[in-house]
Amino acid sequence: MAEYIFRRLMKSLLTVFISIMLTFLIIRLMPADPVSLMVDPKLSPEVQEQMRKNFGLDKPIYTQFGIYLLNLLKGDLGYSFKTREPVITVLMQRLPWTILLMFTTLIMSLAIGLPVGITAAKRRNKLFDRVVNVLITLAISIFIPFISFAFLYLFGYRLGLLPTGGAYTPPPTQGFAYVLDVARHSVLPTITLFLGNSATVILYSRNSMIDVLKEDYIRTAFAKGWDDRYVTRKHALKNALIPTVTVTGLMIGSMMGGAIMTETIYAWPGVGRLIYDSVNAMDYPVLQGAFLMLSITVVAMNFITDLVVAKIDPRIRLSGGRA
Amino acid sequence: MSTKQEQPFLEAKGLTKHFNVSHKLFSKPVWIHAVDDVSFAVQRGETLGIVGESGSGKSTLARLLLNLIEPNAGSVRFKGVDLFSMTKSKESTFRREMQMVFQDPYASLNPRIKIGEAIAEPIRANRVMDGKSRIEARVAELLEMVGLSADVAHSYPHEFSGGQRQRIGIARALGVSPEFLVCDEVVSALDVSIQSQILNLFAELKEKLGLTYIFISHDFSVIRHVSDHILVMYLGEAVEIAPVDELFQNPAHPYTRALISAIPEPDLDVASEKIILEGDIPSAEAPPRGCRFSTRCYMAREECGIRHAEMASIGENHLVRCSFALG
Amino acid sequence: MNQRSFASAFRKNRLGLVGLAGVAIFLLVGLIAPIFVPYPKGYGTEIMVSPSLTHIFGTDGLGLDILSEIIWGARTSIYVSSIAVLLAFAIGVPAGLVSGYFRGVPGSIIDTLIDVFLTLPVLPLIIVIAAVVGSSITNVAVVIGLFSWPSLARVTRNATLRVTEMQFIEAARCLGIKQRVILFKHILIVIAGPILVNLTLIMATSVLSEAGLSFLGLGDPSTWSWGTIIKKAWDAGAIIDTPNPYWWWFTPSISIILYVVCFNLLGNAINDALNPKSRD
Repeated sequence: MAEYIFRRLMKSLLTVFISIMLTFLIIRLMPADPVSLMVDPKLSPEVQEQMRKNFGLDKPIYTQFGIYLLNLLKGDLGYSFKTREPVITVLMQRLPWTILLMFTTLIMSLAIGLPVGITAAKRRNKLFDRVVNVLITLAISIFIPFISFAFLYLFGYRLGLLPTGGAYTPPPTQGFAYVLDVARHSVLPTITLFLGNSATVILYSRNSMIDVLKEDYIRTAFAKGWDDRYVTRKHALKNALIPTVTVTGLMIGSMMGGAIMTETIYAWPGVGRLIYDSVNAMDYPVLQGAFLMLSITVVAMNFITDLVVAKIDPRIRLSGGRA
Repeated sequence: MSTKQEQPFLEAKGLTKHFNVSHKLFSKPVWIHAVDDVSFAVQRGETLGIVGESGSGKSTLARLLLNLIEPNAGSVRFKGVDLFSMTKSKESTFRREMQMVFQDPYASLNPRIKIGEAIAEPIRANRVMDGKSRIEARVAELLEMVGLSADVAHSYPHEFSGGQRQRIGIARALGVSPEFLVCDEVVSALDVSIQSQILNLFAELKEKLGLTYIFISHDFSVIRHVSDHILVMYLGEAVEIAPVDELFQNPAHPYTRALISAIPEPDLDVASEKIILEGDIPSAEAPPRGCRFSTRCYMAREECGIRHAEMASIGENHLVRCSFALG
Repeated sequence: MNQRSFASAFRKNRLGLVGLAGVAIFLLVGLIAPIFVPYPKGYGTEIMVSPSLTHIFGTDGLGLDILSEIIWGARTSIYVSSIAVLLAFAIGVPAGLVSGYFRGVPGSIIDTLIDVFLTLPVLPLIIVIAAVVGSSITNVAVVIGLFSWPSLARVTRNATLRVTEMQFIEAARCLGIKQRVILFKHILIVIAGPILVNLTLIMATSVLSEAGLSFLGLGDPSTWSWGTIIKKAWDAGAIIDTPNPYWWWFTPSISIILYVVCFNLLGNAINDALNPKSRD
C-alpha cells in the first residue's frame, strides 16, 4: 500500500510539474512577444524594465525557467493586468468557490450516480436500464451553456424561483441566513454541472456492476441461496465501486471545463468565472495562474480519490499491487 | 548422432533465459527461469524432438533458437556461425535459412490479411525474389506444395479450417526457402484425424526439400513418430537426450519413464505399469532446490532435494540429469 | 470479424443508423448548403423576429437569419472537428502503437504522458493557449486537436498491447518483416475498429470544445459557429431579460447537441457491431 501511494504521489507531482512547464512554455513558444504577455504594457517604461529584469527575460530560457520555479515556490505568480493585485491573491479569493462547486457536484454525482448505475445493472435490458442508457448518451452530449440557459429561462425567467447569478445576495449576510442564501444560489450551478458529469459515474458503476455480477463468486453466493440484497451489498458493491471511484478521479479534469462555463453563466465567483473575465480583459498572468491553480486542484482531488481507492481495494491494501 | 569431427548443423550451448515478470518501475524484479543451461546439437537432415509438459520452457527454447528473444547466457551456432553476435546484414540472410511454424493456426495468421499477401509479404521483405508476377507464381507454387489450391490466395484466414490454416502457415514459412524449420506444437491445436495429415506433410516436405527440423510437442507419441533424437525438458532444464530408439529402450530419467509409460500404446518395450505423476509442475518463479523434479519424483531420496545433478553421459549420445539414473 | 458480418450487425442497430443519417445530413449541410445560403452579414431589417415562414428559426439582434447562421456554423463545426481528428490521429495513433508495442522505457514514458494529459484540466489549458495565440478558427481547431490525442493514444495503446501478444505478430517478426511494417500495417489494420470509434468521439467532443471556446469569447468573431451565435445571444441578455428571444440560443444549442449525439450514436453502433458480445 505504501508503494502504491508513493507511485501515485510521484505521478501527481509529475503532473503538476508538467502543468508548470506548459504554463511556462505557453508564453515563450508563442509567436507573440513574451514581454507583452507578462508585463502590462500600460505600466511606465521604468517599471516595465524593472519587471523584465525580475522575470529574467534577458537571460537564456533555462535560467528563466529556474526563476519561474523559484517565484512559484514563493507563491509569486505575477500581477494581474486588470487589478494590479498579485495573481495569487486574486486566485485565493476565487478558489474556495470553485472547490465548493466541484465538491458538491462530485458528492452528488456519486450519491445519485452509483445507485442509478447499480440499479440499471441489476435490471439489465429492462425498461429502467434502457431509459438510463438513453439519458447517458444525452448527458455525454450535453452542452453546458444550453442546459444552463434552459434552467435560467425556466427557473429564473419564467418561474422566478431561484436566483439567476452570483453566489450570494449582496451584501453578504451573517450566519445561517448566509449559508441558506449560498445554498439557494448554488442549486442551479450544481445541478447543471451534475447533469454534465453524472453520466460517467452512472456508466462506469453500471458496467462494472455488470462485470462483477458475472463473476463466479457472486454466482456462488446466489447459488448458496443467500439473500439477494445481502449479496449485492456485501460482495458486488465494493468491487463495482473501485473502478467507479477511479474514473470519478479522472473525471475531475474534464469537469473543470464544464465548471468554467457554468461559473461564467451563473456569475459564480470562482476561478472559472475569473478565467472568462480574464479572457475578455486579456489578463494573461491571471489566465496562466488560473490554469496552474486548476491543475493543482485537479491533481490534489485525484490523489484523494487514489487514497480512497487504496482504502477500499483489498488488492492494493494488502500488497504493492496496482489496481 | 554422427561422428564428433563433423560440425553440427545447429548447436546450442548453455542456453539460458530468465524473464522478469514484474514490469513495475520501482519494484524488485521477479524472475521466471524459463530455460536453464540447455545444450544440444542437430545434424543436417535430422529431426530433433523436444518434449515436455507445458511450462517446461520448450516454446521459449524455440524462440531463443530463432533469435526472437535474447538469451541471458549461452550461444547458438547455426552452420558454424554464432547467431547472437551476428551483424544486421547477416541476420537477414539467417532469417531466410531458419523459419518457424507456430502452434495455433487460428492465431498465427493476421485475420485482416489475405492469404496470398500473408505468403507474399515475407518473400518481398527478405528480397527472396522480386517482380509482382514472379512472386504471385511463387505463392501459387507454395500453396500447391502444401496441398492447397492456388486460388485460396484471395481469401481471408477465417474462411479456413485449422488444418488448412496450418498448411498456410507452412507455406508462408517455406516462402523464404529455409533449410531449417522449428515446429512449435504444430499439431496440438488440431483434431487427431488432421494431425496425421499434417505430420505426413512435414515428412513429405523434409524429403522433398531436404529440411532439418526441430519438432516441439507435449505429446510423446507425436515426438516419437517424427524424431531421430529426443530431448526431454522439465522446468526449463534438459533432463535427458538420446536417439529415439535408445530413449525408448533405456529411458534413464524417472521423468522420461513416466512420460513414456503414459503413452497410450500397448506395444511398448518398457513393460511397466503406468507411472502417474502427482501434483502439478512447480512454479518456474521458484524452482525446487536440488533436483527440480524431486518434488514429484517417485524415486526421490533425501539428497535429491539438495544436490542438483549435471547432465552426464550414460551411453553413446545418451545424456541424463539424475543422480541415480547411472546405477 | 470480417466486413460482411460487420455491415449486417451495423444495419440491425437502429440508433446507429439514425446517427449515421444525422452525420450524413450535417456533412451535407456543412459542405453544400453554404453555396445556396448567403453568408449572414451586416444588418437585417427585422430584428429579433420569432420563428416564422420567412425566418424558420427567427432572426437575431442584428436582424440576421438564424437558420443561415446555423448552416454556416455547421461548416465551421465540420472544419474544426476534422482538423482536430486529423491531429489527434497523427499524434495519438503513433504514440499508442509505439507505447503498446515497445514495452519498457519508451512505452512507460509515453504511457505516463498519456496519463498526465488525461488528468490535466484540458479545456482551461486550451483556453489559455487560445487566448495567447489569438482567435482564428484554424488556431482554435489546431489547439483542440493538439490536446485530443491522449484518449485516442490510450485506446490505441490498450488495443496494441492485446494484439502484440498475438502469435501472428511474433510470426511476422520471425518472417523478417520490418518493425515499421508490423506496427503500421499488421497491428493497425487489426485495431482499426476501436480507433475509428474513438475518432467519432473526438469529432463530437471537439465541437463541444469549440462551442465552449466561442462561447467564452475565444472563437473567431469573423466566422459563424454555433458557439458564436450562443455567445451573441448571451451578450445581448437573451436568456433572462425581457424581451426574451429564446429562439436565438435554443436552435444553435440543439444543433450542437444533435451533432454530438449523432457522432456518439454512430460511434456506439460501430463499437457494438465490432464487439457483438458486449450487447448481451
